[in-house]
Amino acid sequence: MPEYVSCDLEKNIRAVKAIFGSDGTLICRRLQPIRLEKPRCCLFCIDGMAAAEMLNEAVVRPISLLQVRPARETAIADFLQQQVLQACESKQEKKMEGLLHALLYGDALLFVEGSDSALILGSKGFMKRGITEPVSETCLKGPREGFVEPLLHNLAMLRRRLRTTDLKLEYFTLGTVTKTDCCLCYLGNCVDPDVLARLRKRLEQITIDGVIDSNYIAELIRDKPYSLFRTTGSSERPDVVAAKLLEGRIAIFSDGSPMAVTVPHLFLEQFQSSEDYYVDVAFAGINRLLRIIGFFFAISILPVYLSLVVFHHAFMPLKLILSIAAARQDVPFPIFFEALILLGSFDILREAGVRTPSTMGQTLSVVGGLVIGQAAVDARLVSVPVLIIVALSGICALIAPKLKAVTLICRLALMCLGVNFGLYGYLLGILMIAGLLAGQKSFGVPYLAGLPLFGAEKSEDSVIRTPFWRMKRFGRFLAGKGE
Amino acid sequence: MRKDTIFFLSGCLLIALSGCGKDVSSLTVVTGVGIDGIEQDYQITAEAIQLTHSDEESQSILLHAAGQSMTEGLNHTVPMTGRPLHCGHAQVLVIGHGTASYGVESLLTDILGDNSYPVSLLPVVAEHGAAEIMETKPVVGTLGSTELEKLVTRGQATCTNPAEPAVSFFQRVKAPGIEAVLPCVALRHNGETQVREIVGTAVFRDMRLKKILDVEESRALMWMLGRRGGELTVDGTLFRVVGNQRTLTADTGSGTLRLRLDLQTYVPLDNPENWKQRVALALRERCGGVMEQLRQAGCDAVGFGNLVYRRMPGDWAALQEDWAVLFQDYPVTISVEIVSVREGRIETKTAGERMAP
Repeated sequence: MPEYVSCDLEKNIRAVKAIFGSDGTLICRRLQPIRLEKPRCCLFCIDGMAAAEMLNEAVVRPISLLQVRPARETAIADFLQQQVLQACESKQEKKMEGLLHALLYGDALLFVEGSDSALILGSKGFMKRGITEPVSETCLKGPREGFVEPLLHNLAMLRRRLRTTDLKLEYFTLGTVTKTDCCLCYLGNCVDPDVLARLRKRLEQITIDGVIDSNYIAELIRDKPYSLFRTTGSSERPDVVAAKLLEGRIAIFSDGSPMAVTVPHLFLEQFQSSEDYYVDVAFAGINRLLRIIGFFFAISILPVYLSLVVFHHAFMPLKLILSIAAARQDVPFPIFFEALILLGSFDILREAGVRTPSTMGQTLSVVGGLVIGQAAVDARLVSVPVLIIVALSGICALIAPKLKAVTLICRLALMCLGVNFGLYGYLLGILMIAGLLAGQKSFGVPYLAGLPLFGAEKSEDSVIRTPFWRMKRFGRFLAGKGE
Repeated sequence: MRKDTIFFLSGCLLIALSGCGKDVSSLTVVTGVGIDGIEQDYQITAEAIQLTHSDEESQSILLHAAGQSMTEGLNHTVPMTGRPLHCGHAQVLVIGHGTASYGVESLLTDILGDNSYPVSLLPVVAEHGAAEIMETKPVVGTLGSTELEKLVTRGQATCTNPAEPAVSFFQRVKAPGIEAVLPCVALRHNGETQVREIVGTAVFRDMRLKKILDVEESRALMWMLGRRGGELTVDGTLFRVVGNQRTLTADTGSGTLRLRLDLQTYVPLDNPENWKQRVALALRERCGGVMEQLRQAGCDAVGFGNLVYRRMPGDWAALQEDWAVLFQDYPVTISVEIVSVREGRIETKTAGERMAP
């Protein structure tokens, strides 16, 4: 592949065709004015990615009907760009690599005889999904639009919410093969320079063949790759990302992904929902508290139950102990495996529910909930108390969907500790989790920052949300963290 | 070996061992224990629960065994069910009359030294044998121990017995100059069947049963111990004791017990002051009678000796060996004062009449 564009049109055409080989989607259209001999041009675009109608009107038609010669033969590309073509987005490029990158991203290339540069004409016209409400972050009140796959659309949605010149958008490319366009977004006057520098450094170190989704980037820039708790956040909602930028965070978009990655990401963010800011402050506070309690309930209720049933019988009232013991009389499995079987079934049903078409969802819930649950109890494979506890634990886990993976792993680990060492084991596990959280940082910011432990001023929007009129540091949540 | 390999293997081992714990369904749940016989030859009657899949169908079973201690006797019942015992939910410990008379120190030391028994275990003394109390079917429900525990707890609320957990009883009897008391249970005929009934208070001296007071005497003793609650009837009028302030003074020569009671009645009293004096007189007589019985038994259940020990430790050192004998002639002055009598009145005027000028 030649590195630069040649002045010889035929040579350029041969080079492009040689690169694409037998690719049938490459369109090559030779152009020449009807009444003139020059300039001879060749238009390249990819079928399905370029807007054909726009190219006809803005490129083919003006060149075909051209009647005026350029003043200087050497500046033919400038002449076409400035006086002939009717495309608003066009630029000259001499390097073949840049041209091919643009061509593959839906733009059209115009090679001109006698010019050592080609024109890149913005003609992206590929099909895209409409803007819909994000499935993973639904809310009853508040904006309903979500990001889509094209990067520029997402940036436009963001800029519509942050109409300030402080909004900085820095493009970069990732993926040696995919060459995915990515964008770093932040508010210049809010962002912590240390965090920004740290993020840039990590992004520069990324070496990967392809970035298909923003999660590829999130996983590569995370503080502790093997940690249970993620130090990068993600959102599909423009309003959420805009609010996070106002708080001094940084967002990373990648083309082809509707998810924006936000950093730094703190522990308490897992319990926040966009709706918290669109409903009454008291209701929002209760909801957030419920999410926090629900998470700890989800990881604790089953291990504590196992501890009590296996070790600490005296902690339970006599009636309860008799009820549990009677229910487990004919169950053939040890209680740990009984719980494990039910947990596995619950998670399989949950996973199947996510992947199943919505028309089958009803059937799945009937089969899962009634048939399997009731039949398992009737067949004495599981006991009713364990079924209730597992169901309760599973439902509580759904309260904080961002901590789905954490809940799954922590619950299993705590179950093992609880059933082997009783409440001592459970408490040891909880202490280990607390230690893990306390020792973790997200881009230099303590992971537990924002907890009421660090002073009321820094926890205005943590366990509960204070009213907007009392948020003295609203919009500067992370800025000045070193104060 | 690498660190992550060790971590992985530990995790696998933890999961693999997780099924080894014995859960509650593999245990025999003991709800009550009856003890007859004397030290080194205890006869144990344990009430346990035979579990079935349905909680409602679960039946109580009685396990009989002998042993040198209560724990050993209970362990001898394990081969009968094939399951380990769970005594953490035992509610009552019925001590037979013979056992209580012989002495309960070693028995209680055994129980309190073993953490498999609950701290809330309620000891009661059987008027005759503990086995017959345990063997009697409950009137309501399937568990005799639960019924007995409810009887004792109810009696405590109505001031008819001095129910207290074994640990409190033990602490009380170990304190110098004070003797402990326990509820006493017996069987009574109710038509053709026999039912359990709390019949009074068992009074101990040096951890040996000395006397059993009847229900009325027990109630007076409870008031003398500073408890409130319970009822008394004077000249056909029922009074409820809603407040009780006890003042105890003691020296080596004599003691004073002063009770200041608040009463409640639902009968309108025409001359309340007169009633106060009549009730106080009746109460003083009753308390005096109980005190006389305690003195005869040499049981200082009210705690005059304990007060001497705390106020005059030097004098107590000289008295403590013979206190039980000295107490038999220890003069005690009892005074009762009725502070207030709350009456339940019926308003005869209508709202309209009250508002009329």
